[in-house]
Amino acid sequence: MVQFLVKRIFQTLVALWGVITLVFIILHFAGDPTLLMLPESATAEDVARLRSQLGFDRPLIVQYLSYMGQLLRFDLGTSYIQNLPVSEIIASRIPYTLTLAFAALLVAIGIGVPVGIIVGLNHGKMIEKILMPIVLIGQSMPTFWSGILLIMLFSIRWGVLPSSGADGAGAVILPAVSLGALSMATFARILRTSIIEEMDKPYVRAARAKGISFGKVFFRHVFRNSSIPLITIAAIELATLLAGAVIVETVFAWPGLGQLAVQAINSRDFSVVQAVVLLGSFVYIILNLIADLLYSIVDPRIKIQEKTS
Amino acid sequence: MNDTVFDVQNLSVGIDAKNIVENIAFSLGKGKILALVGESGCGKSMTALSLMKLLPKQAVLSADSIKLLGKEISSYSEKEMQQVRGNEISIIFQEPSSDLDPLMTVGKQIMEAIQSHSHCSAKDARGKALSILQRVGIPDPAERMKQYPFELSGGMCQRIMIAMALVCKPAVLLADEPTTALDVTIQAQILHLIKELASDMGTAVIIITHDMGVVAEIADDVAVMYAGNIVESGNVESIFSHPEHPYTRALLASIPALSGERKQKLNTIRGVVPDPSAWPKGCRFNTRCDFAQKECFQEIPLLLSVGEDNHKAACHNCLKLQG
Ligand SMILES: Nc1ncnc2c1ncn2[C@@H]1O[C@H](COP(=O)(O)OP(=O)(O)OP(=O)(O)O)[C@@H](O)[C@H]1O
Ligand SMILES: [Mg+2]
Repeated sequence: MVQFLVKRIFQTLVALWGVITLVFIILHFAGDPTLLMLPESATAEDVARLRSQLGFDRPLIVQYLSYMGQLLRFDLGTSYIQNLPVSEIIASRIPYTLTLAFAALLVAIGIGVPVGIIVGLNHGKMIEKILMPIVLIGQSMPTFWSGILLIMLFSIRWGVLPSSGADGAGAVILPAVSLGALSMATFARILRTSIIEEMDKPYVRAARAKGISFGKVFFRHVFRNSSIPLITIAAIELATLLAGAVIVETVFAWPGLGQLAVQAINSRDFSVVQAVVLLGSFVYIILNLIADLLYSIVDPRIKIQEKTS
Repeated sequence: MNDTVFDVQNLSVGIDAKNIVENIAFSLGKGKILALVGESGCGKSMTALSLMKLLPKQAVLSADSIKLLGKEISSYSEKEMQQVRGNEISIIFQEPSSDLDPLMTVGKQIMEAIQSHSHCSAKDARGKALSILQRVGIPDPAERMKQYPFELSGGMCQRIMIAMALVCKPAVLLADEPTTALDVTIQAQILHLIKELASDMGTAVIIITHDMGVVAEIADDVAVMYAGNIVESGNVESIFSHPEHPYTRALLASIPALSGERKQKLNTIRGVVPDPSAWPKGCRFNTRCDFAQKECFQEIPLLLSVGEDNHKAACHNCLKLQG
């Protein structure tokens, strides 16, 4: 177990290093922010002065090494644009994105799981034929489009929910539904397949032969077995939600990390972009690790190897 | 005294409006062992499942009567059947390892069976589970209770299934090829366990098997099935000593002799069992029978008495022999 964790942490660090390097290279080849920071009337000398002031005139490798050195000291740097420590900027946005992601996950699970159960148990019946197309529509609708649709209906036509911002509890509903729709469809689909598969297994018939009711057979045995794929997917879906948050936050002007990332990219705020990407990758990898650990907790057949090969 | 615990009259199972099992009738005394034999696909498993009312969704059961301990369960609702299943009639299957929920300890699964029929505390249920596990010959039952099915061998799982089936002391145990999937060395142990426990508890057993050797060893009565029908039934001695139906004779001839001359060729029955969709007119065995005559292709023979001790056969030729 310890060995497993050590190995995974090492893998995580390597992956993070790769991500950072890649992002660093892409950003720096796309140009630096000095032109955007200066008024249009600035002379070439002004630009050169600012560039050397910010260190952008150094060779790329030197900039890279100095940035990596910073990171090793857990220093995310300073935003040239906002003139604030990056860690502070990020910290102020995290609660919003977390709220949105979990609200979306709640929507996805709260609707996706019951729908998955209903269609899974009514395989081949009318209700499956009605619900599945709806689920598929949910899955194939692009987030920005469903977001705009929701705003048009609930904010503009009926005026029941705010269309943007993060004021009040009601404000999270539309972005959460829009963001959760995709994962909701994924949960429903996977659970359906898994239930149909499990229902045919001999242990279901054997459990019924004991004289327990179908409800108990389902929730104690079938549902538990069917949820195994769901658990891994939930962790990965949460990561997908975080990625989707970039679009949803922009559509709904939700002041989270996604919106921050878009703003930072537009203003070439390198250190902020890098920090957001770094955080995103870190969370993604951690969520995958959690999924693996959960898997071994839920399914006794899977033991984390004591000895790694 | 009438000690019949299980009595079935004219039971049929249909799928897509055609029967796959037809006109099954038998009666089972307390503690007796009835062997249901016949080739693959003749409807043995469907018959067993229909008795539990656990048929697949698309299958339809009809019966004049299914009397279990004097109660007419053919008209029982699903809810009423839940009281009966695992309590008065139990079933074990061919693949014990996949009959257990892989995510639940075997102890919990046995306790679940106990608690679904008696309102006892978890502690009492655990005690009962421990003692039944001991009865089925599982060493160190307290440790085993904590294990998951994947940690146990097939033979061990079948012992667990037997424990679970018998823990409520049912009147009838259905065993659908309970040893087929097990190691040869374990098969005899499991058979003897079933026989011994059933006789201790007074549980009647219907054992489904392909193996006439098994029948000879543990059964009191035999019912031979062919293409959805019982074609011959009676007690073991009369069936083995003077089988009447050509199919029964062919089945018995196909037992490899364990001792004696090796040179004797093993008899196999020519042809294959017809699929329910292709049952021939008249006697269903007529496509494979060496004695088939004109009427065998026209009329279905009835299961009629052909001797003492309830020996019955469904064959036009046997009836002629009777005169
Ligand atoms: N779910 C099903 N749908 C349609 N037909 C089925 C189904 N299950 C079984 N059958 C058919 O019913 C007939 C009886 O099958 P059954 O499983 O009872 O045979 P069996 O005597 O138990 O055979 P075996 O010795 O191989 O276990 C077979 O012809 C089979 O094709
Ligand atoms: Mg069978």
